Amino acid sequence: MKLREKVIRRPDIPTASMADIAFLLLVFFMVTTVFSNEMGLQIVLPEKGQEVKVKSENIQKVYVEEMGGIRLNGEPVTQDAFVDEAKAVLVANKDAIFSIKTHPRAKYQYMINAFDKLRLASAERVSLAPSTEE
Amino acid sequence: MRLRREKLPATIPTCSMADIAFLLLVFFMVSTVFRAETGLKVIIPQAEAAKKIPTKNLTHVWIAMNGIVSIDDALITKDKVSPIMNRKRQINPDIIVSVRCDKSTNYGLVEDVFDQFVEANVLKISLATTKKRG
Repeated sequence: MKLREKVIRRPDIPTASMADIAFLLLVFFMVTTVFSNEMGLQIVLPEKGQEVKVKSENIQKVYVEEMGGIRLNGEPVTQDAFVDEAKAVLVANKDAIFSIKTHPRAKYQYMINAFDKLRLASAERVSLAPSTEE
Repeated sequence: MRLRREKLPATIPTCSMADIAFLLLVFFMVSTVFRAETGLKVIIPQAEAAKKIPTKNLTHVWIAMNGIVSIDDALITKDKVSPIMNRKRQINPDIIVSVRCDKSTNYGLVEDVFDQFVEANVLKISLATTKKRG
């Protein structure tokens, strides 16, 4: 009887599923990755004890009322008209500085609204006035 | 003379698939940043003029509606903000604070925290908002 010739198999590591493993990990990292995309409005606070002399005619007083209403130099302005009003002020006087004063019980969002509108009107010089000061 | 031409079956080469997958995998593994701080659960306000803020030198401060402040996952009262920020400024003088404040917080509370920043001479502030689509 003739025995069949032994076939010598070369040992190898199966790599066919390597791509599957890699893709699995890839999908996990793609799903869990949170690319930082923080948005915000930047402002620089005044230094302590620093007093900047500003010509009074350049100061534009913005007052944010308790219920969210906005006053520009004492005159009530609607939310929609505020951007245009601010733009008009800047056209008339490009050195205008907007000072936002907010009622202490007004919501933070209302102050942000006013600030946001000023940024939309491309007002660069905006400051936050203390709410206690008259 | 007749040349012998061997007909090969058409196949898509898949051996480099794993390489591509690993390449993407490494990219996502390197770029993944798992959130370091949990902070507080706040609903930040919306703003149209919100811009992307650089993450370099950024530190986060959460302010909840009831005036509780969270820095580095430690809950503190608002009068304790100044010493912590002072220490942070000494470590990194270019520090920028991202204020993540709930939109319904009374402005008076937020202002108190801002005063603490001024006290600690940390003046670069970014008011975190979400982008409002106009």
